[in-house]
Amino acid sequence: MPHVRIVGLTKRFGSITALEDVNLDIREKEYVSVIGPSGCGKSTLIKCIAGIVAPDEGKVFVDAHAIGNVPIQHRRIGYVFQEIALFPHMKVFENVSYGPRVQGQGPQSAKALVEELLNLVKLGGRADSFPLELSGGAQQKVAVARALASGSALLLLDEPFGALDAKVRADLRYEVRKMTADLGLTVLHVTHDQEEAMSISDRVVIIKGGRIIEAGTPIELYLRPKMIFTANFLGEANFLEAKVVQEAPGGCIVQIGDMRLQSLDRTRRVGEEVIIAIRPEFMSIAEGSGGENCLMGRVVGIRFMGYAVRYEVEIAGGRTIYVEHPLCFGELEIELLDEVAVTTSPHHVMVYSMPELGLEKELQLE
Amino acid sequence: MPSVKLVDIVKRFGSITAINRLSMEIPDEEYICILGPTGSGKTTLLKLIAGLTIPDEGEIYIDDKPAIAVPAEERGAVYVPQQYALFPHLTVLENVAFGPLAHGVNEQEALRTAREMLEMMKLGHRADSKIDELSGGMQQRAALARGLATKAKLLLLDEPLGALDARLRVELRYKLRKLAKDSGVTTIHVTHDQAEATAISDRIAVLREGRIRQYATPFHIYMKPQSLFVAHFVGGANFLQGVVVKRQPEESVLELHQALRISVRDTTHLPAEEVVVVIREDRVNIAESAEQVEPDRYNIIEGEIQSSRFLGDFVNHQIRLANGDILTSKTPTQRLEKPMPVGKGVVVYFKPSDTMVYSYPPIGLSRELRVL
Repeated sequence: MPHVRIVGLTKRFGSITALEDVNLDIREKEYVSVIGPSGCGKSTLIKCIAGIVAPDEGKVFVDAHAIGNVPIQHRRIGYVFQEIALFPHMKVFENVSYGPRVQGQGPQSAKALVEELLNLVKLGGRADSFPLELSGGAQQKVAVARALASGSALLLLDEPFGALDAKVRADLRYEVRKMTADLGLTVLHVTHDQEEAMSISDRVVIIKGGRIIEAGTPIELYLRPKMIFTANFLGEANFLEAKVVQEAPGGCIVQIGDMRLQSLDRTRRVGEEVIIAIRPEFMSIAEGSGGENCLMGRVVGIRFMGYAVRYEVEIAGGRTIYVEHPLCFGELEIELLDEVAVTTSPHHVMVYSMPELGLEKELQLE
Repeated sequence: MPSVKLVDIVKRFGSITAINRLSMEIPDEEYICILGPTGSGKTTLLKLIAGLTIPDEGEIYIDDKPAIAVPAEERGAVYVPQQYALFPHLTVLENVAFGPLAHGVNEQEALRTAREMLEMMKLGHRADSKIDELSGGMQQRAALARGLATKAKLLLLDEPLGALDARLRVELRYKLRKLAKDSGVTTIHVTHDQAEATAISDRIAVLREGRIRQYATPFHIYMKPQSLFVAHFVGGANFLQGVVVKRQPEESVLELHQALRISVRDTTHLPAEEVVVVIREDRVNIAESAEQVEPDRYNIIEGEIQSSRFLGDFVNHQIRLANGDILTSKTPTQRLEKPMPVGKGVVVYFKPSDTMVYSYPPIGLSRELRVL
């Protein structure tokens, strides 16, 4: 039995279905992130596990025990949410020791535990500070320490870094990840930030409209997403209407206007109308005006992005695609209005059936 | 259309100096980002230009005319605050149309503009919703649409994308720039997100503790940061301490911890000087063995993979070098079969020309780099 098992979880708020038949197993010591657009139900899911929201249907098992009737304070699950919720009138030490003291631990053992936890989050010297004397990042670390003081091996993180600056946020996520790995915790982490989710998770779960639409390792989901929504949500992609024109060894050939590209997708039949998706960083751009297996176009925009240059290319038929060229591959001498050929490798050409509701609707981020 | 000029601006709140002798010029039709950590004075700077707060010292010019005595509503600027201040009893469309109406536009025209702006902000389908039926991100876009709909020539935007989900944020930032450029307005956009600032601005002003640390194009700031702080805050990099041991005509040799020597493309620092060498993460390469690297073009150092993190378009590795220093590398996913396993022995290599050398900061390295 996995550490956490979620079976058939459904939750409605009036006429809105926030979660619909959600099933998910989380293994012991696994770090799982749940991501999805705003309003997709990800927060409701974590609140059902924490016991803050009662589901209409379905069950949550922790360590093989159904916890539906266990009140919040007895679930012994660590929970950290976006709004920093420390007691402002209590010192850091008192905030972290609050749980153990309420649970009836003696002052000596509580003290030892709190000291250990504060050292763990690298705030050992700040036990006597008040929360507002700390930076936002440090306050959130105190909240993590307080959550761990419950002694639970399961930690729920609901947008824990959402209120922090980009730079602080990126540093903190690695710090928390390392700590949970060192402690051997099982973590369920809800976030809207796909990069955050991919960089620290063993597995990522994508929720849309209250349902899990896809789950997998970050690399699987980024490189070979099964759903077109996932392809767009996990990073930028160029989406183009195309038609399968030929079977090819190990895949197929798709036609976009009068240009052709090869894909490794073997599930398509000739004549099928499809959408292809290619990530901007998996395309190469070169001056030129001909050739097989490439998209031809004209450069209509160039942006320096730091580590990369982003080219906006208008291809035949008037569609615009974006190509990102990492500068560690060397600088290119491509200028505005140059005619260019854009190439890619067949395994970066993802092929999808035309969505029933249309592409735009399918990709909608909320 | 307007240009903005700030001269020796000082703004204090009690004992705190929020803006400290700040001067800058913003040319007509430019898109400027004010970038800095929390508490650096970004919002105060924006409010000073908007006329919502008055400086203690200095002068502000809008279109070359002194502006401090001009009331906010006559400065030709629209200020979109972080807290959206929408009218809860009006619909989204009515809220957005309020912008142009307040500027004397007739109702039909105001509604037409409002619809246009809502479409652009991907809110067309929510035009008739009440404000409190919208998510935070939608409310932020409604507030932005209201600001844009005024057709003011000077846009002052305080974290305009701050409440949005990461993915939507990326999508809308390009739209925002395009709209500003197409309509020829001057935009000042406050953000704490360096990737956002780099991606959309003509120039970035990096703010820290009320002072501008650098004001230049994104290219210049990334390639030639004037200080260690800027190198750290914009773009991310590795920082290694060392001492200059030899100065040659085009390169110098540095000694890092445990006598590890590297070559750097720098001749401005003298032998025995304590320095910090900066190497951008994307310029740190990894190979399985030294035979794969041309020895005369690169610094080559043995190390061990300490962590690997898949970011989608890039993979970050942390490598512990033989001398104990740690480097972070950023490799395009395209170039990697898969992330390197933790514990694997590797060599890292980088060009002397991909290094930047700075004097060791008097306040210490960690304080110089500190973001908060």
